[in-house]
Amino acid sequence: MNKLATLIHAAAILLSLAVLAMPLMPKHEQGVYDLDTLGSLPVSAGGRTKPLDTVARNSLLIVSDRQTVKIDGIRRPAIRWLIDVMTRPNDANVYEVFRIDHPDVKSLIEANQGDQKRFSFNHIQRFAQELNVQFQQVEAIKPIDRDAYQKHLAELRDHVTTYSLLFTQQAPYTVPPLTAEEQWRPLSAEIHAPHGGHEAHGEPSDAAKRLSNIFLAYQNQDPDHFNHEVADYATMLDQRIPDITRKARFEVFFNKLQPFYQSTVLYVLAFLLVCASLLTAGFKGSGLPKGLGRAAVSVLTLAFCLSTFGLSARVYMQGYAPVTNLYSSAVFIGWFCVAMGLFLEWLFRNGMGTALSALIGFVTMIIAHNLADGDTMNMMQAVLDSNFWLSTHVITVTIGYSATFLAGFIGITYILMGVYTRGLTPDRRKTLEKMMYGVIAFALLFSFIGTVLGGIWADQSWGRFWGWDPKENGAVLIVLMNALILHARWGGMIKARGVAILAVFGNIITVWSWFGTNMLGVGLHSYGFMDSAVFWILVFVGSQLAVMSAGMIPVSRWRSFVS
Amino acid sequence: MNKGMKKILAPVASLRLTVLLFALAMVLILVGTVAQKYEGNWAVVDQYFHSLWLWMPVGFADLRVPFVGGYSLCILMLVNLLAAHAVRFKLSWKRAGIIITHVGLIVLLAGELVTGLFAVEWNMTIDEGRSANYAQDIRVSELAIVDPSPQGHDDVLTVPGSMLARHTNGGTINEPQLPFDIQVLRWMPNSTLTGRGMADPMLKQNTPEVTEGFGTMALASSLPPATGVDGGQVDAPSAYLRFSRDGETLGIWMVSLHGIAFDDPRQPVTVGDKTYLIELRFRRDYKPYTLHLIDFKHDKFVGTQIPKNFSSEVRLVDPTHNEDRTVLIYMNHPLRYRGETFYQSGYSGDTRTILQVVRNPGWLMPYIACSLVSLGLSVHFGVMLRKFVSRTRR
Repeated sequence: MNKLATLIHAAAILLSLAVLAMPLMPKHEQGVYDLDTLGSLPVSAGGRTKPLDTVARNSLLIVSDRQTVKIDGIRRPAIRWLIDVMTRPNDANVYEVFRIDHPDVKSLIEANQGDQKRFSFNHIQRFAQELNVQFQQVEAIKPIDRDAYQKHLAELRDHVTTYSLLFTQQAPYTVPPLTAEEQWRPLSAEIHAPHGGHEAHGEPSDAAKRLSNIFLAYQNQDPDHFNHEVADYATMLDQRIPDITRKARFEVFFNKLQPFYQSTVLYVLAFLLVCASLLTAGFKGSGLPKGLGRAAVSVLTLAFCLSTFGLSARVYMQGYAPVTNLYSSAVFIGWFCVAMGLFLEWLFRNGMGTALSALIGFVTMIIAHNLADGDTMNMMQAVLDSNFWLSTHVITVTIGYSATFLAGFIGITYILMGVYTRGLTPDRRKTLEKMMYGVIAFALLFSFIGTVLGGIWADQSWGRFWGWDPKENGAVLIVLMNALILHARWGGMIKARGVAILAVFGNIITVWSWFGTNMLGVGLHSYGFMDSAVFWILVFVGSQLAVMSAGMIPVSRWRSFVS
Repeated sequence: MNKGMKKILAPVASLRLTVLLFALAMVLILVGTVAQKYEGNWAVVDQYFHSLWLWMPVGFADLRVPFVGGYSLCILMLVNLLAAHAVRFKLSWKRAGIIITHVGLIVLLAGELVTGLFAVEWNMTIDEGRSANYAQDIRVSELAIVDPSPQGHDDVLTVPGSMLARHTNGGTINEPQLPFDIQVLRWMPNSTLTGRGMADPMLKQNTPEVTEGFGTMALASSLPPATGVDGGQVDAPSAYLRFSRDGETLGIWMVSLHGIAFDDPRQPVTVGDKTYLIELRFRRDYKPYTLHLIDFKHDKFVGTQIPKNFSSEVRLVDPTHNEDRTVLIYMNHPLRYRGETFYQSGYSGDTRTILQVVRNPGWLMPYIACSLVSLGLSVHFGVMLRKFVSRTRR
């Protein structure tokens, strides 16, 4: 009977490997132009050295909310769009890339009829006069006071600015520093861009001339010349700045692999497998639940490895600790929850750890995806710059967040399974309780150490260990929450059910200190915030309160407890 | 410990009290966080955390209820903790971690208490090529009345801003030491200046008629106090004052912390044949040494406005200690001198540095506390985990 188990296991692994290999397959038809080499050329944008491919993807993502563009009915990679914008704006200006969602903004460009979402630069340009008047009006209002229409309008203005910086070749900074005195600079500073922009000064450098030749060859639709020039230039850079080109090439690989996207897919697969395993628990003899369960663990482990690779790659590319902004904190929280879930699975082998970590891994990836705003590897302000205490602080405190979340999700499982199903057997009750207790204790340890390390960093940086700053307060709330649960349990005030209810409340506290303090619009610690998030946070808090009230229903009415 | 003692201590030592105190602390911290949307961080800290009790807003109307403050909670937690250990003290591996952790917590709470009571934070602003021999308290203002006539030094009298605030709406300060009486026509805890030409006519109408000084050129208007969520903004007060001597009016002046925007922030006031200089400024603390800013540097990431680093090269001159040396102060590399620590905290423009000057006798306590608690929790968690794993895997 174990044959079936092995078969399922093998099939699941093969399927995940296929998922893994997919993005590395050439998705787009290879054109006559060597855009891969072009994409791996290092440039500087937002203060960070990155490949042109990243700039293309991020710019397109900002403007269009996509990483590909439809040209003549065919999906093309972002780099194709970028090179068109930079060298053949007349072609690029008709691509429909500017995403506009707000109906009032749409009506400004006479597009409120129909459901078209993306518009060409030429279309927008037709209404430039009216738009400029509107842009100026928005300018006068502080970002925080803007209403939805004004926010969308300001976004459109920023997108137009991003776009025009690209086609005037003022951004990104494409000309590399080849000597110690030089710095990254835009091509427009040395060679007059064919489509307007700044006046260039002085004799252009060798690198600038070569870049300009590459662009000219593309502009003149001369693929042979273009390919030759790009290859030549790349070889020259490899010799002169090998470290930078190596990093850039690695980032192109990272962009192609999209490890976080793939692990999201695998989390879903693992979750489905473990659910199937739990549902087929009745057919023990067939080996079905066992095979499915094992398959789930393998898929989850693979997803975890991918995430680990993704996080390490970001550390390598960025040179900072893995948590630098809200996006990376979401990624890190998911990653660590999965690690803990796998550990719990190893301990208890009941599918709970797998199910929870697959679910949390998936949810945090979705959250991260929605928090991403252009380049997620932006540079840090001097105050937040790398420092031993800061790095250890963000890591430990984020581990504390992760553990508190995991405990909360175990609490949700306990309550929902107990109230609405017969699945909360005395055996499960015991293991879930143990899991919650252990995870909360772990959460207390890390949230406390993380909070104190934050204080030490603050003391090192500006001589104030503790300032009762909103973000600090958020962290200490998590510490107190976990301490409260543990002390209440030690004192016999609550048992498994009480721990579960309070652990769910811990979710609310954690969300508050993760996002709530940003909603207050606070100084140093706020990494910028999106409005739609407020809605989702309220939904989340509401759902947690609902689960807590379900947990308050007397045990005698819980389905698992009714004999 | 005898039985009677235990019986008395039992309720104080109970875990129920611990849980209650945690819950109260959570409420206090939560409300104290939200309050920073409306009030300055320092005001909130004084009101909520460095206090015995407070009137806490409940969220609707202006209803407030009495609530325990940070100091009271801190003391109650200490009592609860000590009582608990007195009643249940037992030395064993199982308890060792907990005991170490709690000792660490006591040090941590005591550290916050010491900091709250004794720490001072000052600010030192120096322009490139200039020197400073004083630090200023950017939370407290004072009206300085300077008599420049003595040879070689100035005689300075100061009136605290809080005193001006108390005498607002026409009250008069007449102290025998002061060369003139001060009538406070208006006091603004936070303000901005506008040129008279550009000012709103309504504002002009509501402003006292200034007869002397830069108040004839600019108008001060009131601003709401900076809140904790504004991130480190500082209140800049202004005031309209009428000075008089023996019942005879000398004139009406506007004084403001924004006075530094003018060529000379000090305005002359002539009494008889003597001329005094007045200035509203942050309270100063003069040092026996001088810091001279040689060079201030700040770099940004290429092609962005994101500051990459900043540093101040200063010359420290202290004749009393025979000290004259050059030091570089930059992020995470403060200068420690004479019990004070100078941190690179900010800048304005390209040539002005802002140093944070801190004296905190309790600065080491969080470090000790942190080590103890981390050690204690690790010991306890390790002991537990071992038991847990071996029991579960069996």
